Amino acid sequence: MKTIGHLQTMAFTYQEICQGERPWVALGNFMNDWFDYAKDRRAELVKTPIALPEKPTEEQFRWAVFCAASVEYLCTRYAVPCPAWVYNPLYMLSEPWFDAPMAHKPEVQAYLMEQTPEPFARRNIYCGNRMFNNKYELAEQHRLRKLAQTTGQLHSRT
Amino acid sequence: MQRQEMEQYLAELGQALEQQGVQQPVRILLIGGAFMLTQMSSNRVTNDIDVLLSDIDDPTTSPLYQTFKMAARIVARQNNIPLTWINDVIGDFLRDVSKIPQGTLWRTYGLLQVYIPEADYILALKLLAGRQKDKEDIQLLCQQLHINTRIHAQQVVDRYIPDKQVQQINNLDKTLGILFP
Repeated sequence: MKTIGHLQTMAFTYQEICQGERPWVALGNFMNDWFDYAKDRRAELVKTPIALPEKPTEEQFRWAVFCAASVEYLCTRYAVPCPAWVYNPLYMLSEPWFDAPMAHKPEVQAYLMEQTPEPFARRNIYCGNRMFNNKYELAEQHRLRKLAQTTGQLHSRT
Repeated sequence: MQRQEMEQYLAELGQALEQQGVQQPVRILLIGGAFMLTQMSSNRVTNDIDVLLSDIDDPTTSPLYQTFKMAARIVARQNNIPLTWINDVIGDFLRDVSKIPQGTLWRTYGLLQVYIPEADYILALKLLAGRQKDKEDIQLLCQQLHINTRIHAQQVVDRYIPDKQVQQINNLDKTLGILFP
């Protein structure tokens, strides 16, 4: 497990992916930092550009583009200044990548194209819109819903 | 976190609970990646250990919960790892929306008893979440549980998360549509 002083930046996350770590394990660690451990240091998590290997495999290149799209998407959504490196035109796929089970089915592809946020779609990645759903926000949304219900009940009694 | 590491931290948590003067066993239910790691695929890793505390209904008023968090902090300090190495942040949500199974006792570390839920409960949670990162786990669980149709998958979710509004908010229909087109 990562020690407490470790910052799981996107650059480090991509490096781990290139070294053979499963992408969603590395990205999961990044998400833990983004949504919990280091949520007050988000700009730091994304400022360093990812480093492409000299001759990236197709898979490594796809994940590089995914990382760039993720940083743009997350920065926009959470009002963090977006680092310039993500706009490098290099981070673009020439062929569409549909990342979902059964993605060969036209109806699945149509759904992914409809749902995928723009920073991914613009780079030819179609993955839907739930890739950064996480337990921290889910728990908080649930807490707020419960609070609203309780408050509503109190108001209706008075 | 790998399996050996995880078991070491849980053993330390059991010791820390004893040091905190806990008198009766504390039961936790392993969910998420920790379940997958211990029950399905020992070569994978998990980011943290997601658990449900079986004996605690309301963490805000439970003295046992405070003791548990203190013991978890001791383990974090001993190993220089984040406080959320063992994570129950999702507990309140799951207690409210799902029928939590009792599970089967898997390990005992001093006063810490670790329970494992039925695999279909984990599948139901992962189908509800519908995230990319769960894709492989869902495929593995469906394979193990012989779930090949959308109807069967829906039945599994209905068993544990019967509230249709919760299913709808979480786009279960779309998730099942992608998995079983």
